[in-house]
Amino acid sequence: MKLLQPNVSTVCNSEVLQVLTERGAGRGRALPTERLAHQYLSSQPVLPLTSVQLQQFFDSLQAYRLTRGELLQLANLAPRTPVEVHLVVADCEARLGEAGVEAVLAAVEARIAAPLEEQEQEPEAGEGGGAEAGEGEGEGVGDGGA
Amino acid sequence: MFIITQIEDQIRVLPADLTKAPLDAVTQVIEQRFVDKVIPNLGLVVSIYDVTNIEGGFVYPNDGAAFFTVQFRLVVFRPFIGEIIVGKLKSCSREGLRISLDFFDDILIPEHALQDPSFYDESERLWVWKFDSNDMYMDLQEPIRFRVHSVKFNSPPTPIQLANATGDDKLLGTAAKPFSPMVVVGDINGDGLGCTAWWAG
Repeated sequence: MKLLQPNVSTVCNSEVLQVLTERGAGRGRALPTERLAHQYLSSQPVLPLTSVQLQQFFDSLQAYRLTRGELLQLANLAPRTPVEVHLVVADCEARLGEAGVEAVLAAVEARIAAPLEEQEQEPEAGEGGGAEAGEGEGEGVGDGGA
Repeated sequence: MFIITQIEDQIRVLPADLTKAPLDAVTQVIEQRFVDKVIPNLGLVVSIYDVTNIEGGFVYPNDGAAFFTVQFRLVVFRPFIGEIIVGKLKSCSREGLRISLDFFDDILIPEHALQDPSFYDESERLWVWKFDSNDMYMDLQEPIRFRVHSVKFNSPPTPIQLANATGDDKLLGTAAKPFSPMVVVGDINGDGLGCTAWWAG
Protein backbone atom coordinates (compact mmCIF):
# COMPACT_ATOMS: atom_id res chain seq x y z
CA MET A 1 0.00 0.00 0.00
CA LYS A 2 1.46 3.31 -1.03
CA LEU A 3 0.29 6.60 0.41
CA LEU A 4 0.59 8.68 -2.75
CA GLN A 5 -0.64 11.83 -1.08
CA PRO A 6 -1.47 11.52 2.62
CA ASN A 7 -3.21 14.87 2.65
CA VAL A 8 -4.77 15.87 -0.65
CA SER A 9 -6.99 18.41 1.06
CA THR A 10 -9.04 19.09 4.16
CA VAL A 11 -12.74 18.79 3.66
CA CYS A 12 -15.67 20.32 5.38
CA ASN A 13 -18.31 18.28 7.21
CA SER A 14 -20.91 19.24 4.61
CA GLU A 15 -18.81 17.80 1.83
CA VAL A 16 -18.35 14.54 3.73
CA LEU A 17 -22.09 14.47 4.34
CA GLN A 18 -22.60 14.81 0.59
CA VAL A 19 -20.22 11.92 -0.11
CA LEU A 20 -21.90 9.71 2.48
CA THR A 21 -25.37 10.51 1.17
CA GLU A 22 -24.25 9.61 -2.34
CA ARG A 23 -23.01 6.28 -0.98
CA GLY A 24 -26.49 5.69 0.39
CA ALA A 25 -25.82 6.21 4.10
CA GLY A 26 -29.03 8.16 4.62
CA ARG A 27 -31.16 5.37 3.16
CA GLY A 28 -29.52 2.58 5.16
CA ARG A 29 -27.48 1.23 2.24
CA ALA A 30 -23.85 1.97 3.12
CA LEU A 31 -21.41 0.37 5.55
CA PRO A 32 -22.10 0.65 9.31
CA THR A 33 -19.30 3.17 9.88
CA GLU A 34 -20.58 5.34 7.05
CA ARG A 35 -24.08 5.22 8.50
CA LEU A 36 -22.79 6.25 11.92
CA ALA A 37 -20.76 9.08 10.41
CA HIS A 38 -23.83 10.21 8.48
CA GLN A 39 -25.86 10.05 11.68
CA TYR A 40 -23.32 12.19 13.55
CA LEU A 41 -23.00 14.78 10.79
CA SER A 42 -26.77 15.02 10.34
CA SER A 43 -27.24 15.65 14.04
CA GLN A 44 -25.11 18.79 13.95
CA PRO A 45 -26.99 22.13 13.81
CA VAL A 46 -25.67 22.86 10.32
CA LEU A 47 -27.64 22.68 7.10
CA PRO A 48 -26.42 20.22 4.49
CA LEU A 49 -24.70 22.61 2.08
CA THR A 50 -23.75 22.32 -1.56
CA SER A 51 -20.27 23.40 -2.69
CA VAL A 52 -21.78 26.56 -4.18
CA GLN A 53 -23.44 27.56 -0.91
CA LEU A 54 -20.24 26.80 0.98
CA GLN A 55 -18.19 28.96 -1.37
CA GLN A 56 -20.71 31.79 -1.05
CA PHE A 57 -20.40 31.59 2.73
CA PHE A 58 -16.61 31.80 2.53
CA ASP A 59 -16.79 34.67 0.04
CA SER A 60 -19.10 36.63 2.31
CA LEU A 61 -16.42 36.57 5.00
CA GLN A 62 -13.53 37.41 2.73
CA ALA A 63 -13.05 40.90 4.13
CA TYR A 64 -12.04 39.53 7.52
CA ARG A 65 -8.96 37.61 6.31
CA LEU A 66 -9.72 34.43 8.22
CA THR A 67 -7.38 31.48 7.73
CA ARG A 68 -8.53 28.30 5.98
CA GLY A 69 -8.66 26.42 9.27
CA GLU A 70 -10.84 29.08 10.85
CA LEU A 71 -13.23 29.19 7.89
CA LEU A 72 -13.44 25.41 7.95
CA GLN A 73 -14.27 25.36 11.66
CA LEU A 74 -16.89 28.06 11.22
CA ALA A 75 -18.51 26.00 8.49
CA ASN A 76 -18.40 22.88 10.66
CA LEU A 77 -19.62 24.41 13.90
CA ALA A 78 -22.04 27.15 12.74
CA PRO A 79 -21.57 29.24 15.89
CA ARG A 80 -24.55 31.12 17.26
CA THR A 81 -22.90 32.95 20.12
CA PRO A 82 -19.88 35.32 20.23
CA VAL A 83 -18.04 33.04 22.66
CA GLU A 84 -17.99 30.26 20.04
CA VAL A 85 -16.52 32.63 17.45
CA HIS A 86 -13.82 33.63 19.94
CA LEU A 87 -12.98 29.94 20.36
CA VAL A 88 -12.52 29.41 16.63
CA VAL A 89 -10.75 32.60 15.61
CA ALA A 90 -7.36 33.19 17.17
CA ASP A 91 -6.71 36.73 18.42
CA CYS A 92 -10.35 37.58 17.81
CA GLU A 93 -10.37 40.96 19.54
CA ALA A 94 -7.60 42.38 17.42
CA ARG A 95 -8.58 40.87 14.07
CA LEU A 96 -12.35 40.96 14.13
CA GLY A 97 -13.49 43.18 16.96
CA GLU A 98 -17.15 43.25 17.95
CA ALA A 99 -18.40 44.31 14.55
CA GLY A 100 -16.56 41.46 12.89
CA VAL A 101 -17.97 38.90 15.31
CA GLU A 102 -21.49 40.23 14.64
CA ALA A 103 -20.88 39.97 10.90
CA VAL A 104 -19.67 36.38 11.23
CA LEU A 105 -22.69 35.41 13.31
CA ALA A 106 -25.00 37.09 10.81
CA ALA A 107 -23.42 35.26 7.90
CA VAL A 108 -23.72 31.94 9.74
CA GLU A 109 -27.35 32.63 10.65
CA ALA A 110 -28.29 33.62 7.12
CA ARG A 111 -26.50 30.88 5.27
CA ILE A 112 -25.56 27.79 7.12
CA ALA A 113 -27.18 27.40 10.52
CA ALA A 114 -30.02 24.93 10.73
CA PRO A 115 -33.20 26.60 11.96
CA LEU A 116 -33.79 26.19 15.70
CA GLU A 117 -36.72 23.94 16.54
CA GLU A 118 -38.82 26.66 18.17
CA GLN A 119 -38.38 29.19 15.36
CA GLU A 120 -40.29 29.40 12.09
CA GLN A 121 -38.17 28.90 8.97
CA GLU A 122 -36.93 32.36 8.00
CA PRO A 123 -37.20 33.68 4.45
CA GLU A 124 -33.42 34.41 4.17
CA ALA A 125 -32.71 30.80 4.98
CA GLY A 126 -35.27 29.80 2.35
CA GLU A 127 -32.71 28.20 0.02
CA GLY A 128 -31.01 26.33 2.82
CA GLY A 129 -34.33 25.65 4.49
CA GLY A 130 -35.62 24.10 1.28
CA ALA A 131 -32.60 21.83 1.17
CA GLU A 132 -33.20 20.83 4.79
CA ALA A 133 -36.83 19.96 4.09
CA GLY A 134 -35.83 17.99 1.00
CA GLU A 135 -33.26 16.02 2.95
CA GLY A 136 -35.72 15.30 5.73
CA GLU A 137 -38.30 14.06 3.22
CA GLY A 138 -35.78 11.78 1.57
CA GLU A 139 -34.94 10.20 4.92
CA GLY A 140 -38.60 9.66 5.73
CA VAL A 141 -39.20 7.81 2.46
CA GLY A 142 -36.12 5.65 3.08
CA ASP A 143 -37.36 4.66 6.53
CA GLY A 144 -40.81 3.86 5.21
CA GLY A 145 -39.32 1.62 2.52
CA ALA A 146 -36.99 -0.20 4.93
CA MET B 1 -11.93 17.07 10.87
CA PHE B 2 -11.78 15.05 7.69
CA ILE B 3 -9.07 14.89 5.06
CA ILE B 4 -8.85 13.23 1.67
CA THR B 5 -5.99 10.79 1.20
CA GLN B 6 -4.80 9.33 -2.08
CA ILE B 7 -3.61 5.73 -1.93
CA GLU B 8 -2.32 3.20 -4.42
CA ASP B 9 -2.66 -0.45 -3.60
CA GLN B 10 -2.72 -3.93 -5.10
CA ILE B 11 -6.33 -5.01 -4.89
CA ARG B 12 -7.07 -8.70 -5.09
CA VAL B 13 -10.42 -9.55 -6.62
CA LEU B 14 -11.68 -13.08 -6.00
CA PRO B 15 -12.51 -15.22 -9.05
CA ALA B 16 -16.17 -15.30 -8.03
CA ASP B 17 -16.35 -11.52 -8.43
CA LEU B 18 -14.73 -11.34 -11.85
CA THR B 19 -18.10 -11.24 -13.61
CA LYS B 20 -18.77 -7.86 -11.99
CA ALA B 21 -17.52 -4.62 -13.50
CA PRO B 22 -13.93 -4.02 -12.30
CA LEU B 23 -14.96 -0.79 -10.57
CA ASP B 24 -17.62 -2.52 -8.47
CA ALA B 25 -15.44 -5.50 -7.58
CA VAL B 26 -12.52 -3.26 -6.64
CA THR B 27 -14.75 -0.92 -4.60
CA GLN B 28 -16.07 -3.86 -2.63
CA VAL B 29 -12.58 -5.07 -1.74
CA ILE B 30 -11.47 -1.54 -0.80
CA GLU B 31 -14.51 -1.26 1.48
CA GLN B 32 -13.56 -4.43 3.29
CA ARG B 33 -9.88 -3.62 3.59
CA PHE B 34 -9.90 0.06 4.42
CA VAL B 35 -13.20 1.43 5.70
CA ASP B 36 -13.44 1.54 9.50
CA LYS B 37 -9.73 0.80 9.85
CA VAL B 38 -7.06 3.10 11.22
CA ILE B 39 -4.13 3.89 8.92
CA PRO B 40 -1.15 4.40 11.27
CA ASN B 41 -0.17 8.03 11.74
CA LEU B 42 -2.91 9.10 9.39
CA GLY B 43 -6.35 8.49 10.81
CA LEU B 44 -9.57 6.50 10.71
CA VAL B 45 -10.88 5.76 7.25
CA VAL B 46 -14.54 6.72 7.13
CA SER B 47 -15.50 6.31 3.51
CA ILE B 48 -14.32 5.97 -0.08
CA TYR B 49 -14.22 9.29 -1.92
CA ASP B 50 -13.59 7.92 -5.40
CA VAL B 51 -11.49 5.53 -7.47
CA THR B 52 -9.22 7.44 -9.84
CA ASN B 53 -7.36 4.72 -11.72
CA ILE B 54 -7.63 0.95 -12.21
CA GLU B 55 -4.88 -0.90 -14.02
CA GLY B 56 -3.87 -4.49 -14.41
CA GLY B 57 -6.20 -7.32 -13.72
CA PHE B 58 -3.40 -9.87 -14.03
CA VAL B 59 -3.97 -13.42 -12.84
CA TYR B 60 -0.80 -14.95 -11.40
CA PRO B 61 0.05 -18.64 -11.52
CA ASN B 62 -1.44 -20.82 -8.73
CA ASP B 63 -3.89 -18.10 -7.77
CA GLY B 64 -7.18 -17.68 -9.54
CA ALA B 65 -7.70 -14.16 -8.23
CA ALA B 66 -7.03 -11.07 -10.34
CA PHE B 67 -4.71 -8.34 -9.10
CA PHE B 68 -5.51 -4.74 -9.96
CA THR B 69 -3.27 -1.77 -9.26
CA VAL B 70 -5.78 0.79 -8.08
CA GLN B 71 -5.40 4.44 -7.18
CA PHE B 72 -8.21 5.75 -5.04
CA ARG B 73 -9.05 8.44 -2.53
CA LEU B 74 -10.43 7.91 0.94
CA VAL B 75 -12.14 10.19 3.43
CA VAL B 76 -10.10 9.98 6.62
CA PHE B 77 -11.02 11.27 10.06
CA ARG B 78 -8.03 13.26 11.28
CA PRO B 79 -8.76 16.20 13.56
CA PHE B 80 -6.04 18.85 13.65
CA ILE B 81 -4.60 20.13 16.89
CA GLY B 82 -6.59 23.05 18.21
CA GLU B 83 -9.75 22.09 16.35
CA ILE B 84 -13.04 22.58 18.14
CA ILE B 85 -15.39 19.59 17.91
CA VAL B 86 -18.78 18.81 19.42
CA GLY B 87 -19.39 15.25 20.62
CA LYS B 88 -21.58 13.32 23.04
CA LEU B 89 -20.47 12.43 26.56
CA LYS B 90 -20.31 8.66 26.61
CA SER B 91 -18.94 7.83 30.06
CA CYS B 92 -17.25 9.38 33.08
CA SER B 93 -14.58 7.91 35.29
CA ARG B 94 -12.03 9.16 37.80
CA GLU B 95 -9.52 9.57 34.98
CA GLY B 96 -11.76 11.90 33.03
CA LEU B 97 -14.41 11.94 30.34
CA ARG B 98 -14.89 9.77 27.35
CA ILE B 99 -16.57 11.45 24.38
CA SER B 100 -18.07 9.81 21.36
CA LEU B 101 -18.67 10.99 17.84
CA ASP B 102 -20.96 8.18 16.73
CA PHE B 103 -18.40 6.73 14.34
CA PHE B 104 -15.40 7.28 16.64
CA ASP B 105 -15.44 6.60 20.36
CA ASP B 106 -11.86 7.00 21.56
CA ILE B 107 -11.85 10.64 22.59
CA LEU B 108 -10.53 11.17 26.10
CA ILE B 109 -10.57 14.30 28.21
CA PRO B 110 -8.15 13.68 31.08
CA GLU B 111 -9.24 15.00 34.46
CA HIS B 112 -6.60 17.76 34.51
CA ALA B 113 -8.01 19.22 31.29
CA LEU B 114 -11.50 19.82 32.64
CA GLN B 115 -12.86 23.25 33.55
CA ASP B 116 -11.28 24.66 36.66
CA PRO B 117 -12.39 23.64 39.32
CA SER B 118 -14.09 20.32 38.56
CA PHE B 119 -14.83 17.54 41.01
CA TYR B 120 -15.79 13.93 40.62
CA ASP B 121 -19.06 13.14 42.37
CA GLU B 122 -18.74 9.56 43.63
CA SER B 123 -22.42 9.03 44.31
CA GLU B 124 -23.59 10.09 40.86
CA ARG B 125 -20.40 8.96 39.15
CA LEU B 126 -20.37 12.21 37.22
CA TRP B 127 -17.98 15.12 36.92
CA VAL B 128 -19.18 18.41 38.25
CA TRP B 129 -17.90 21.91 37.50
CA LYS B 130 -18.30 24.27 40.43
CA PHE B 131 -18.70 27.64 38.78
CA ASP B 132 -19.53 30.62 41.01
CA SER B 133 -21.02 28.24 43.56
CA ASN B 134 -23.26 26.68 40.87
CA ASP B 135 -22.98 22.97 40.41
CA MET B 136 -22.83 22.29 36.70
CA TYR B 137 -23.16 18.58 36.15
CA MET B 138 -21.93 16.91 33.00
CA ASP B 139 -24.66 14.39 32.33
CA LEU B 140 -24.28 11.45 29.99
CA GLN B 141 -25.42 11.89 26.36
CA GLU B 142 -24.98 15.66 26.63
CA PRO B 143 -23.30 17.41 23.70
CA ILE B 144 -19.84 18.57 24.77
CA ARG B 145 -17.66 21.06 22.91
CA PHE B 146 -13.95 20.33 23.27
CA ARG B 147 -10.63 21.38 21.78
CA VAL B 148 -8.31 18.73 20.30
CA HIS B 149 -5.05 18.63 22.22
CA SER B 150 -3.31 15.73 20.49
CA VAL B 151 -3.89 12.64 18.37
CA LYS B 152 -2.03 9.49 19.46
CA PHE B 153 -1.53 6.36 17.44
CA ASN B 154 -0.81 3.08 19.23
CA SER B 155 0.73 0.28 17.22
CA PRO B 156 -0.97 -3.08 17.60
CA PRO B 157 0.78 -5.33 20.14
CA THR B 158 3.26 -7.93 18.92
CA PRO B 159 2.85 -11.52 20.12
CA ILE B 160 5.83 -11.13 22.50
CA GLN B 161 4.30 -8.04 24.08
CA LEU B 162 0.99 -9.84 24.44
CA ALA B 163 2.68 -12.79 26.11
CA ASN B 164 4.50 -10.54 28.58
CA ALA B 165 1.56 -8.26 29.35
CA THR B 166 -0.14 -8.79 32.69
CA GLY B 167 -3.68 -8.19 33.91
CA ASP B 168 -4.35 -4.48 33.55
CA ASP B 169 -2.16 -3.63 30.62
CA LYS B 170 -3.66 -1.35 27.99
CA LEU B 171 -2.31 -3.58 25.25
CA LEU B 172 -4.58 -6.39 26.25
CA GLY B 173 -7.72 -4.35 26.55
CA THR B 174 -10.96 -5.73 27.90
CA ALA B 175 -14.39 -6.20 26.43
CA ALA B 176 -15.37 -2.85 27.89
CA LYS B 177 -12.23 -1.05 26.73
CA PRO B 178 -10.70 -2.80 23.75
CA PHE B 179 -7.30 -1.84 22.39
CA SER B 180 -7.57 1.52 20.58
CA PRO B 181 -5.22 2.15 17.67
CA MET B 182 -6.09 5.86 17.57
CA VAL B 183 -6.82 8.07 20.55
CA VAL B 184 -7.75 11.75 20.45
CA VAL B 185 -6.93 13.65 23.63
CA GLY B 186 -8.95 16.81 24.16
CA ASP B 187 -9.39 19.55 26.68
CA ILE B 188 -12.37 21.55 27.83
CA ASN B 189 -10.63 24.17 29.94
CA GLY B 190 -11.68 27.48 28.51
CA ASP B 191 -14.52 29.81 27.61
CA GLY B 192 -17.11 28.18 25.42
CA LEU B 193 -15.86 24.65 26.10
CA GLY B 194 -17.71 21.93 27.98
CA CYS B 195 -21.45 21.25 27.72
CA THR B 196 -22.92 23.31 24.89
CA ALA B 197 -25.88 24.06 27.12
CA TRP B 198 -23.66 26.05 29.51
CA TRP B 199 -22.79 28.62 26.85
CA ALA B 200 -25.96 28.74 24.75
CA GLY B 201 -27.22 32.31 24.11
